[in-house]
Amino acid sequence: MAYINVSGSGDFATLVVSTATITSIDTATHIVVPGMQNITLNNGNGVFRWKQLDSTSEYAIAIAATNQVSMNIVLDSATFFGDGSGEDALSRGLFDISNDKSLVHFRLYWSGTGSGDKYVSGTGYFTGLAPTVSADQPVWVSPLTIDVAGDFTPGTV
Amino acid sequence: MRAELLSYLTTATSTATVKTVSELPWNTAGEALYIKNMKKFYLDQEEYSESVLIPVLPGQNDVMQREITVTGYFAVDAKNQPANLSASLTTILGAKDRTGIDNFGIESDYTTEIRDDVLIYTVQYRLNTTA
Repeated sequence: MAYINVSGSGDFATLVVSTATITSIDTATHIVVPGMQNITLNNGNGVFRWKQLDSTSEYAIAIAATNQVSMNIVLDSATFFGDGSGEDALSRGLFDISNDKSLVHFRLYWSGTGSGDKYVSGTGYFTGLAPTVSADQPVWVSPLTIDVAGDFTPGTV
Repeated sequence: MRAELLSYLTTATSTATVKTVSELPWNTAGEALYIKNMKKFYLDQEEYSESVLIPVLPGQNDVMQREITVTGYFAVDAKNQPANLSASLTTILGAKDRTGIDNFGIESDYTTEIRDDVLIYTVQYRLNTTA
């Protein structure tokens, strides 16, 4: 047994988003999302339930899942606004990708990005971007959700 | 922050009842300078403390909050308090808004203590900034 620990060097939870298919982390074009306060992967399987006269318990069958990756992030100027130099994710920035409702590819590395480390990937759309700042917390933070189109795909680096 | 406060207060209190001096409030012969030299305002060295303002996941950089504290002292005769003492206090407390240091909250307050026939004012400035 081995708990999935993200606190060790080389074991960090990492989210990479791109506007193109991700085969490995390309720091020149992909956004390695910085300042994540937390991240949650939600594989919300749907269930259809029905009752029958011949049973005292409901029956159920799995139906399509609602898949999401949600997080809270501290906004970093470079990755939030991009530099506008190109059409890749890093150039466009998180805000532009969300504002344009662009399809994003993502990979969530559970514990490190090295050989043999696990990840899940998928595609989806940014939703729920809501940057906020307050008098006693003078740094912009925002929730961010990737509403996943289709299945999560697990993989190993 | 001590340098900024000192710079402002040296000028702002130059003609006031309580004047600001640049020395630290050290002791001589067991007596603090601000008691020996009454109506002189002494600023102590600044103190720093850092704490996590916004924690993030391991491997990324927490947003840190730095609190800078500066304490100042002056004393007056408790039996015969100088005129315009309240004006001096207003100037001294108001110096918090003249540091020019980026911050997200700066406070000043004072407490008093009577020791024998001396009334001691202890003024504290606290500034919060991100680090």
